[in-house]
Formats: sequence, structure tokens, C-alpha cells
Amino acid sequence: MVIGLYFWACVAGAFSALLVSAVCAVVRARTKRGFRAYVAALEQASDFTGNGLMFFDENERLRHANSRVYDFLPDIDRLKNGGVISLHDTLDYFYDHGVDCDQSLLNTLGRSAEKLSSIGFREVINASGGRLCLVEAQKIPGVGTNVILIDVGESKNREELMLRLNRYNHELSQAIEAATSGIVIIRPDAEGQKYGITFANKAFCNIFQSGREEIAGRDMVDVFGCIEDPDALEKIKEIGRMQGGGDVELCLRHPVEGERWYDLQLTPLKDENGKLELFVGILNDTTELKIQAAESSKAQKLEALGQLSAGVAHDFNNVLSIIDGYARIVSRDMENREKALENLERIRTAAQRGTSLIKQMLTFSRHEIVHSGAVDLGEMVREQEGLLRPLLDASIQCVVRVGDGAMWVECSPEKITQILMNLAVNARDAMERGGRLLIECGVCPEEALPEILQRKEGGKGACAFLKVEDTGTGMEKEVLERIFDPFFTTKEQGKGTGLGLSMVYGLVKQAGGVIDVESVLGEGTSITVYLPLTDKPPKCLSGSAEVPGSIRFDGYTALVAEDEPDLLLLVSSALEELGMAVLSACDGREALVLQDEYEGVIDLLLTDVVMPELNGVDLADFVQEFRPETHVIFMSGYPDKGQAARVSIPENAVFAAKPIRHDDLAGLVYSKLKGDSGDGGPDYRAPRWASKQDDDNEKELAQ
Amino acid sequence: MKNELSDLKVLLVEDQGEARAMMRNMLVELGVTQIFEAANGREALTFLDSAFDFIDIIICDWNMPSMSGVEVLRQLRTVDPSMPFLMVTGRSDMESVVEAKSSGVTGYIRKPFSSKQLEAKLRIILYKMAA
Repeated sequence: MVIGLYFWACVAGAFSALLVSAVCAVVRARTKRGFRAYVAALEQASDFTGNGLMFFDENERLRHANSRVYDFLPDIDRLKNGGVISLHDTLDYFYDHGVDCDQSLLNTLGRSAEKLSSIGFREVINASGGRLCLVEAQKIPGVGTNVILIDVGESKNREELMLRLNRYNHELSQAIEAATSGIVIIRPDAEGQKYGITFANKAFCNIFQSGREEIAGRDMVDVFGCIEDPDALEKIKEIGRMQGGGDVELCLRHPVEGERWYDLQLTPLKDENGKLELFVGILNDTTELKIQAAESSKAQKLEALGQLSAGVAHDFNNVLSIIDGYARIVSRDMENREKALENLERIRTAAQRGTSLIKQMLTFSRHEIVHSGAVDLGEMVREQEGLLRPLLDASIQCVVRVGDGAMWVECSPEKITQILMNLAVNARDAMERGGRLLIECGVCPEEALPEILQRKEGGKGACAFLKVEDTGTGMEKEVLERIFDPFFTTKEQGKGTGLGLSMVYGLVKQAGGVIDVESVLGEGTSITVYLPLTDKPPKCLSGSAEVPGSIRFDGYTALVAEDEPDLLLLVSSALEELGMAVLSACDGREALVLQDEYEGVIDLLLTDVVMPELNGVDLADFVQEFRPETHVIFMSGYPDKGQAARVSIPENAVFAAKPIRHDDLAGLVYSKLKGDSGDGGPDYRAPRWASKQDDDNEKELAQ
Repeated sequence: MKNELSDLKVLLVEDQGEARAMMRNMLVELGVTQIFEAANGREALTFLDSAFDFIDIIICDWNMPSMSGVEVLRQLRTVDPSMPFLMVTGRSDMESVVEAKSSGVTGYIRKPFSSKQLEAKLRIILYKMAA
């Protein structure tokens, strides 16, 4: 359109000039034919072109100006001097009204005049109404001078607009090309099914390792198809379908740089009717950010580890100094064997403390192997009472209240001990000036359960509770909110690790319970742990050794190793009858493999002493290396010591001589397991050699 | 107890020199005389390439830089699905035990361990292989 206008402006200019030349030629040929006819011809020509025409005679006096001239230059008459306008003044006027033109405009105008010759004067001037006029003057020898005024105002404005637009576009495309982010324009088809890429900048092409021509025109899903994560691709499709914007994280494999991560932001552009016109996608490389985030997370972990180490270092140093100190003494005392042994024992104790510290840390990081089982919370609290008292100052009065009846909860005894000890130690530390420590446990009726437990699915029903209450300093709200955070401590540097309560929190959570904390500043704190009661049969020793046939071992597990198949069957059946779960092995080797594969707790190893390949004593040694908690009872038809003994069993080992009576076996196992539960049940461990006569009237398990 | 371990040819793979020396001492203490050592997984696989038939059992650390014990095991299993492989792990969480078992180890032993425990584990592996 604009080019068309130019064309016509130029053609019009050229035509006018040619017309004037032609008219002048006629005038020259027919000079005497009257000036009027000439002027009439000029008027006609100028009307035809729409241009302004001025004619100056040989004396350079204006002889004629058409109406367009007055249209362009309404004040031209003020140049009159003595009623005459001279060419000289007119040209001055044009110079005064000249404008600075763009080079491109002059070029355009120049091209239009190329076909014209002998142009004596050319200037673009400001005409009335803000229009621009190209003024060209041509001297015709022997006749005069023609001046043509051509309106270029409209074309000039459009040209400027185009120039600006072009410049803007140029700058914009340069910026888009130079951008380090990938930029892509995606246009959906009419059905909104396909999303063709209409533009992709250099960075985008580089990221997808494709040429621009390979990408342009292709479907978005097709181009993004090289994304390895199917979820990301699905999200892109989803954004397309929903026609909303969104962010997608992409992972692309670069042949040189390897795996790179990108964030793709898709923004929909819609028309005024809300119809989707196109998507603009910006693709940013987030690999470095991701690495930084990972580094930062690593740094946080290291910081946490540092804090953990600082807390544990104190205790661990103590352990190490004991080990180191006694080791030195031992090397000095080697001559005094007895004393050296005593000191070695101290070293072992310190090493065990170190082991328990590590176990505590593993518990904190939830990396322990959990052997689940059920315990009676009340019984546990009663057992722990004796251990708690030495921890407390004389200024602290300790009251323990245990509710009636059994309260079975699914939790290991070690965990209950840790929970109780940690809570008690915290309570103690809150009462530096003394006070009262109340430890209470029992069954909590449903209506008294805290809200959080009532909301839990299946949380309804009775729970066991363990409350530890002190009359100490209490806590501020800010402290209360953070007490279960790992490493949070209000204690002095080196006095607390900040792990105690977070460990309690973790243990209670693992056991499916909740914790309720109430604290009043200056009055004290009460922490209550609620643990769901369980129906799972707990380990339960019942009956009495004194009453034959009354003993039960529900929930316990035994490993029986016996190379005599009938005897193995008899003993295993007997233990099963007593409520035990039994793992049976036909020799020592099988028993060793069985215990290696069994994940649960083995409470008892009942093993024959003399077996091929691996005897019972060696088996017991191996088993106890991995399972120190497993009790061992040996059985044999040979005497345990002396010359007749084919394999000597260790001192203090529990020994059952074959044949074993059912009640004797029950009593022996009972005493072993009961003895372990700490209430000092009857010692039934005397190895007894039943005489043949004695056995006659008794039920024999084996020969 | 019959010493079944004395004839055993063991390849010990452990990146830490001290730990390797300690395990070597334990094996010697248990009567094992033919002990071959590799300081990393790559070295172990190269050794096995040339001396595969020499070795009765591999004791390998789980956590090694550049090539983990699991990777050594994975590559070994492509060649020999039944070579006894005892994985030494410092981790004691249930997940790692399960992972060790599912990756095809014949047995695993947790650090720190005593020579008695090592003996038990070696015997368990031998029993399993004999069964």
C-alpha cells in the first residue's frame, strides 16, 4: 500500500514535469499565440496531477500559480514586492521552510526524480496543515522556470511509521536472539488439537540441539518428545489442553554436558474474546540452581551433622578417655595379671557405653532394626522406677503411680525405657532447685483422650498413657513449639544434645502414639505419651514352676537344634504346646543358617551338644555373637563336664540332661526366661541327671 | 570344630587400607591362608577376569567410591550367578539389609564385626553353598 502510494507520488511528479515540458515546448513553438491558452493548458495539467504548479517567466517573475499552490502555501502572496513575486524570493521562502529529511526518504524521492533531468532545485518543505511538499524547480531556457510542488505528507508519515516499526522489530528480534533463555512461540490449530511452533530463538534451538528449520512448524509435543521424564511431557500436554499457563521442570540429556535441568514457563496469550491465540514459552536452564540447592541441602545436613557431633563428642570423648586411660594402665600392669584383667573389664564396659551411644544415634536417625513386640507399659514403668531414682537429686521427690491391670502396647521394652528416661531427665533438668516428679501410667478412657488422637482413624478406643510431670521452670510458648525439633536445646553448651525429645517424638510416632505437652511458665510441665493398646498376643510368661502343667510361653520364639529327628520333633512339639513359635533345625549348620535368615527375635536356643560338623557349643557361640539376647539351653545324653563329656560346655551354662521330662523342660525354660525378666523368679537351672528308675513313671521326651 | 576355612581362597575388596588389613588379620586368625586383595571394585573385577577359578568367596565392602559393592556384585552376577559373595555393610537399617538381600548377595555382615562373627558368616555361606 505504502509502496503503491510512493509509486503514484513519483509517477505524478514525473508526469507533471513531463507535462510542463511538453506545454513549454508548445509555448516555445507558438510564442505568439496568446498567454491565456498557455495558462489554461497549465491549469488543466496541474488539475490532472493534483500538484502545485508555478511558472516564472524569463525575467523570473511569477506569472502563474495554480490553486494547489495556494492550498499548500496560503501565505505566498506576502512575498509580493511591488505586486510581483520573484523567483529569487520564492526560492528563499522554500529554503526557509525546508525540513531535514530522513536519508531513506530522500533516497525514495531521489529515485522518483531519477528519470527527470536538469532539476535545478529540490527541497522538501513544510506546507500548511502539517503536510510536506517536495518542491522541484526546472529552468527552461528561453521560456522561464517551472516549479512543481508535490504532496508527500502522507507517504512521509507512513514511511516514518514503517521505519520505526522496522527498527523496533529489528531491535526486538536481536534481543530475542541474544537471550540466553530459550524462547518459543507456539500457535494452536483451529481445533486446539495441535500446537505448531511458529518461532524458536537461537537458545531454544541450541537447547534442543536442532536447527531453526527443523523446529519451526513442528508440533510442540513432537519437539518436547525428547524429554526423558514422561510426567513432564504429560504436564506440557495438560497445559496445552487446559489452555492455561504453567511451569514444567524438564530434564534433557546433552551430548557433551550430560543431564541438564530446565524450567519451562508457558504463558497463554488470548484475544479480546478470550480465545487462545498462542503460547509463549520461556525455557531457563536451572541446572546450576539445582546443583546449588543440592549443595545447600548438603551443607545443611553437614551443619546438622556438625551439631550432632558437637553434642555427642562430649560423651564420646569420655568413653574414649576411659578406654585410653585403662589401656595405658593395663599395659603397665601386665605383670599383675589380676589387676590387668580388672582394668580390661573396665575398658570393655567403656566400649559398651560407646556402642550404646552409637545405637542411640542410629535410633535418632531411624536406622535401627526394629523388633516389634508387645510390652506391659505398667510393668515396664515399675521396672524402670529403680533405675530412675539414682538419676534424680535428693531435692526431687519422685512419685510413681501405675494404674491397675495390664496395659499392652506395641513397642519394644528398649523404646519404653528411652522414652521414660528422656522425659524424666528433662523433667529433672527443669527442676534445678528441686521439686516433684510425677510419673504416672494407666489406661486412658476414650472420653479423656486428647483431640488429636480422637481425630486419628482407628485412634478411638482406649489408649495407655504415660505422663511425666514436673514442678520446674515451665516453658515459654516459643520454646514449647520447638521442643521436639532435633538439636533444639535450652541447656548449656555440652549439657544437652537436643536429641532427647526429638528421639522421644520419633519413638512414640513409630509406636503409633501421640504426645501431649502442657506447660505453665514458673509452674511446671506435663508431657503425656499416649500409646494405642494392642490385642496382639504379647510375650507372656504365665503359670508357675511349682505347679506342673501351668506354664505358658505365648509370644516367645525358640530355635531347636537336634540331629536326632524324633527327638527334634518331640522337643519342638513340646515347646509349641507351651505356646512358643519354634524354628527346628536338624543339625548345628542348619540352625546357624536358620538364625541368619530369621529376622525376628529368638528368645531361646535349645541345642543338642554333640552334633556333626558344628556342635551345640560352637553353635551357641555363633548365635550369641549376633544375638546376645538369646538364651541358651544345652541338652545332651552325655555328662556336661568331666572325662565323659565329649564336648565341654561353658561355665554357668544351663544344661538339660537327656532324657528330658516335659515338666522339667517347661520349668527349665521358664526359669531361664523368667530370670531374664528381672524379677528373680525361681532358679530352675540345676542340671539334673535323671536316673532311669526315676523316669519310669514319668513322661519321657527323649532317650 | 573342623576348620573348613583353611582351604578357602578369598578375594577381599575394601578401599580403606586399614580396614582391609584388619579383615585380612581376622581371616588369617580364622586359618584362611589364601587371601587376595583389591583396593576397589575395578581392581577386583580385573583380578576376577584373569583368576576367576582361583576364588571361592568374595568379601566386599558395600560403600566404596567410584564403584560400590552393589555394582561389583551386579557385574559379577552377569558372569557367575552363584559365586559366594559376602557384603560388608556399615549400614544397619532395614532398607539396606533388604537391598543387600535382593541384590543377590549370599550373605551380609554389619560393621563393626568380630572375627567370630566373620567366621560364622563364612560358615553360613559355605553351608548354604553345600546345601
